[in-house]
Amino acid sequence: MAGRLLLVCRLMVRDLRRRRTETVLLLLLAISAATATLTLGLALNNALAQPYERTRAATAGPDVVATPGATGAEALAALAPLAAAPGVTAHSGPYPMAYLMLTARGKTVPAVVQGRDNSSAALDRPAVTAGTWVRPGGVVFEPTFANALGVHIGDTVDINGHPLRVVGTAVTAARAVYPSADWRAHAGSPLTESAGLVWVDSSQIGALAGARPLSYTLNLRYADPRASTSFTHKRTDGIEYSSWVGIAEADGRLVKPARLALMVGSWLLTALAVASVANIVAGRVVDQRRRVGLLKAVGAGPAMIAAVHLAEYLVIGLAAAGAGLAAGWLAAPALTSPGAGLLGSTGTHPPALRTVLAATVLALAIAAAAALAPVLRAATTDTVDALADAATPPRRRGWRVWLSRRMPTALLIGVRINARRPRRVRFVMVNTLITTTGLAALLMGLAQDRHVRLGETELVNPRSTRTLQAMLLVIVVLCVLALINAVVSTWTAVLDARQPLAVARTLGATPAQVTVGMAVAQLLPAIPGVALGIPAGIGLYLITSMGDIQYAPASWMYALALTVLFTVAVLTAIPALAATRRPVADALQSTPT
Amino acid sequence: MQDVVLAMLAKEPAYGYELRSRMRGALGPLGEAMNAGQIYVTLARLAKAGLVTSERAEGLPDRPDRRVYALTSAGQQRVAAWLAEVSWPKPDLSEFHLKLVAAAAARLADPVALVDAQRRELLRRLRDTQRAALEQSVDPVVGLLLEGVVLRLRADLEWLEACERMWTERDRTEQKGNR
Amino acid sequence: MTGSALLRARGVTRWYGRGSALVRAVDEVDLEVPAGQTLAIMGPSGCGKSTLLHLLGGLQRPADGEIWLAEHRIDTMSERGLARLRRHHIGFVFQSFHLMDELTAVENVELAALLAGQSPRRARQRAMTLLDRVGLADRAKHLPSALSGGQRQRVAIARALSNEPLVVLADEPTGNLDSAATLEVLRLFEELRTTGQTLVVVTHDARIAAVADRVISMRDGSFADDSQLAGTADAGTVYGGWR
Repeated sequence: MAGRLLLVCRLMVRDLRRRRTETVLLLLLAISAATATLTLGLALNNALAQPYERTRAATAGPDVVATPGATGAEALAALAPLAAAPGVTAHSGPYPMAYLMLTARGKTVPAVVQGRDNSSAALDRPAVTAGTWVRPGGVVFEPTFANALGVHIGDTVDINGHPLRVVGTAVTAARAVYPSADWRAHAGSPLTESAGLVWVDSSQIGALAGARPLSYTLNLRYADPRASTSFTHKRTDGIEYSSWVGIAEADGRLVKPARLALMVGSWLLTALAVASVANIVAGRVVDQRRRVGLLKAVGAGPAMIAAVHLAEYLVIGLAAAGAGLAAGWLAAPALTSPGAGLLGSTGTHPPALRTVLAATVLALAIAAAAALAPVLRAATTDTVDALADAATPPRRRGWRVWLSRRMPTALLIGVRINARRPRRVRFVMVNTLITTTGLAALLMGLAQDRHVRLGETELVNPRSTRTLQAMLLVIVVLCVLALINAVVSTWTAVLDARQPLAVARTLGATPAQVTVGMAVAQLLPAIPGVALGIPAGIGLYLITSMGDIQYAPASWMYALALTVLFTVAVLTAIPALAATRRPVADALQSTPT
Repeated sequence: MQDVVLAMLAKEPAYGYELRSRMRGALGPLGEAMNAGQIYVTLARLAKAGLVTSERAEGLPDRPDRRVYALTSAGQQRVAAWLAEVSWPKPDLSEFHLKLVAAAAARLADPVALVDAQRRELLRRLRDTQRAALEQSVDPVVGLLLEGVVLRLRADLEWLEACERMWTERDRTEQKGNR
Repeated sequence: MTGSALLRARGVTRWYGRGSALVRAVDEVDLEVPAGQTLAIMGPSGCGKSTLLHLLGGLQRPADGEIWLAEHRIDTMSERGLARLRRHHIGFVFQSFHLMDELTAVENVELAALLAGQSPRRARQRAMTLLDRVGLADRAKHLPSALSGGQRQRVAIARALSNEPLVVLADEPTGNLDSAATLEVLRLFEELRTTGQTLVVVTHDARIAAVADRVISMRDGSFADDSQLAGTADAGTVYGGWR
């Protein structure tokens, strides 16, 4: 047994070492990219739920926030009995609140201003994320709001005509983050507007509000959890109640589209990864066929052959799972932390077991699927056929060859090369299709109005920015993978076609014709890929987005199509040109027979 | 044979037995078949033709193997001419070929059976020569000769293969024609 | 089927294609190879000799007929059974060597022993002994790519011998070798013959006759001639044969 184990390990290690670049790097990269996006998707999933909860725990967030429609003393009177109501275990406030206009960097926007002081509160103790807590003459921003406005600590802003210094940023669980802070033209109005939240010293709020009457808000905690989870918003006896569930939901809406983009992106990436793994594996099958035949000839049974191949792919799969997990986990904070308006970045915590499991299973599944081909073959083929090393002879597609006779030389060369390798043609198509789909969806995203109206001013909508960030991240990974795929596939295509190209040159084709021919060979399958990818990308965006959607200008899409095709052409032309620099005789001789 | 003996004397005069052992050495196992008297018959003929002279060595009995032989100038000219010559021993296949034709025409024997018998014989020869070449102790110069013989025999065997194919097919078509 | 021969075939047939394109690669061949015999099967390419060898080694299955190796019936054996049989009782030598390019010479030789379940230590010892026997002990750590054709074939022969097989089956073992390397391989076969190893060699290289006890000529899928090469032609006829 020890001997066989040694054999499996030795064959695995040697094979991995021998085919380092192609197999290890590419397979690893492809599978890692897929697992990384999956990890990222799952991490964001957690980011949706957990930061709010973490914030709630850290800031002693209330179960329910009560705000009466009335103002001034009347409001205080309405709130007074609530704190002593049965079932209430804790309360804080009432805190004064005003719906005012805030001017910063030349923009005037609505802001919800809450008055607080340094006294300790039983509920809702906003956590300062930068700077200090409120003091007279100072204002503390909710970070997302600060980001959207572009204000920093030390800046001076103006609330209702009164200049105030920005002294810090803080997060709370008692009110949804920008732009969902629910501004009202007057207290008690059912119509809310997008706004952000700021805190000022409670001694100053009356002066800031000036003529406008103050609203009040009371934070409550109940003994019975169902008292707060059974509703999101309700209005009874002129008092509006918001439960933490509703606030969590409003905060969650911020990252929801980003999460969706990541999820769809990880499907695309997985598809691309599977395609490139399949391509790499198919390229190895010839070699593996011989290996399988050889092992059979010296007496290895099907189980042994399966073990040898599976071991190799599983090691690659595990390594890829690790790499993907690490990459995904490191990238996750980039999407969740900046100005998230909530506490806690995911990066500081170990990935959830569920995430690790999911990523590992995905990586192993791709790897096992890759190993399956040779293993199945091993069980079914005649040893002799396997040993004969007979790569499936390039198939002749009669009609294509017929067609190619009626074309200019370059096109003719390209079509004939493709007719020999239908598998690679399919791969080039899938590669361009997926890449174009992703890019077209990104263009659609870019074309959207990413602003939110705050009063008379338009500000950046953090939801769109975050979605776009997620899309960009996916697309960058997608493009890198697609680019590598394209380089590998064109390079092998050129190596493969060296002999027919050399023959073409002995028959009088010029290097230019040959180079163009190669480019054509790759472009032909890329064209349907691009043509299908653009509507697919637009469709994907339409399906996964809500609300009003603006179409990206047609010129963008044309530019995208041309760029993709141009990239493919250039990628092919370079190795083809390099190949034509070699003397014909060398190319003819060096071709393995 | 005469030319070979003359050429071996070109370096220096030699005793008859020296010549004989030198030739056997160069031929290796193939030299064993050489008749001991053959060389003296040849030397006698060469002396008669005036191509070699011989003289009795001091203190030795007057026997052909104890005489010292040397080239005459005519002998030297003959050696030079032989070296310049480009004649090549040609294998005579026509005899066997005609044997097959005759056997088939007169229905004396099955030509394919004749080919088989001949092949067995050639294989046996090939085996013996190749075995001699396999001996570790064989002199590389002798090995060269053995390789030449092996190559010839392989060519002959290939030809026999062609013969067999041809006569088998002819056999078959004739049988069809008779039916 | 009974008989004293080690390797026995009765009515073995294998064909390719169908209809008018049917080719009888091996056509009702009967064969008995006694233990210790060195048998050469010769014939032009395409005569079916390689297919016959593959059938004898269980690399392919016959369409008809029976094949026995000692007490094992090969033609009906399961794939697993065949794998076990190849592991323990059959050694293969191929024209194109079929060594694993990524394994060193000694690792290639011990491959079969490790597959047969021997301990790594014993497998290594045995492999070194065999490499020494084929004269390549000093090349044990070389990769096949660093060996000459003849050396590679000797490694392959050492591998074939690793589990003391009942029979060694060789398919054109000298087909890819120059004449010096062919001599190396022939010398090795001659040594195997003298040690009583049963050996079946399929070839169109007549030089193999030098190490064969028996030569079978094959034509169009069946045996045309079967001759024991007993006795020695006298040196005179060899020398005079073409003179």
